Amino acid sequence: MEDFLFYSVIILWFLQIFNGFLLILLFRQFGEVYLSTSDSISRDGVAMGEKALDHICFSYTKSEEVTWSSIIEKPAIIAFVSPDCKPCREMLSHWNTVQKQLSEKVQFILVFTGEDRKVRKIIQEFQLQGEIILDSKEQSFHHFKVRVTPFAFAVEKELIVKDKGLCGTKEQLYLLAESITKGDEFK
Amino acid sequence: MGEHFINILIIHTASFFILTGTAKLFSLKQFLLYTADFQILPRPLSYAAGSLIPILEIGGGFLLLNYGWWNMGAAILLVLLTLFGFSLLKIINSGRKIRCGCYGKWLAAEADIFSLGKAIYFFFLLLLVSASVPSTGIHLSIPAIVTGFLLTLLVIAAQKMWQLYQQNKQQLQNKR
Repeated sequence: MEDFLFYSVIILWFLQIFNGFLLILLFRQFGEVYLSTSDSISRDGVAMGEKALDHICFSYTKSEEVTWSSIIEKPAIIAFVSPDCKPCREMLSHWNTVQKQLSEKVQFILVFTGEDRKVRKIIQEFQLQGEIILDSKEQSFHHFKVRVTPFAFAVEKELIVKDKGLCGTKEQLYLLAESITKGDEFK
Repeated sequence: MGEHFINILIIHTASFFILTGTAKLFSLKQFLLYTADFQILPRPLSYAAGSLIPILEIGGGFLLLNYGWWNMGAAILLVLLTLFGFSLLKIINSGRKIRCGCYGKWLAAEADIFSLGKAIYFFFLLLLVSASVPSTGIHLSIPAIVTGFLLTLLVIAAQKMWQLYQQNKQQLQNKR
């Protein structure tokens, strides 16, 4: 009897580890289904045609607190990024190029979440241009209803969302820009 | 109790390597192609190394079960796991997606983070076993064999689940 209990306990412990592993996979699978499909992404963020709520944020460029309405001067692309996300780094490597090309018509705003130290490091690493917002308390993320990064909005001057979506590539940035520049095509 | 537990772990480790070695041996041609895909060694050398791997795995597994030779078996398997771990790290860092051929054609397995985790798991299991092999020898009782073999099946089931998860993830990405 003692032997039976001993072997059963070992098998049950390993089964528990296996079950734990399955649960992790299941949660990750739910995450993939809920967060990563085009349907779920279209549900993310402030709805198209709606106006994002104006609120105060910290401008890294101006080193002071500002309101969103005060920093938006023209139709803008607002990209939400995190220093630890790999696709964000991929997007940031194209940020300056796209910005230089379209800066006459479109304003480019980066919203960083995460640790201040990491954000400053990444800004230096990529020599990022344009308006940069540090959103360490994720207030702007909350107001714009952003859950995944890199996520971007194409907004009009009044903060009305014209287009939105993931923005991991240069092409996605161009597509977003097209939606606020009255059909201009960029390559 | 401790001795029984170590016996189970020895059987678990040995049965895993015997099973995977046999699976590789049964689909050796395919396994050699998978090994060459790692692009760590020049092709002729990788074929030579690939032919040796299943034999070393089966040999190492059986030696581990033999009390007089268990340390030789453990050494062979530890070296194999270390080399495999470094190769996997290289593949993961390069971002390439290739099959690892860990189970030959029998079960699809990629050279990914799961395979690395599995290699680390068996590496530490072997270290633990090496440090605490019972002085009275290795006893292959039926309950220990059944339990050890069940643990091996759980590892293989975990591999299958991981593979299914990866396939689903890929399908979701394609649907985007």
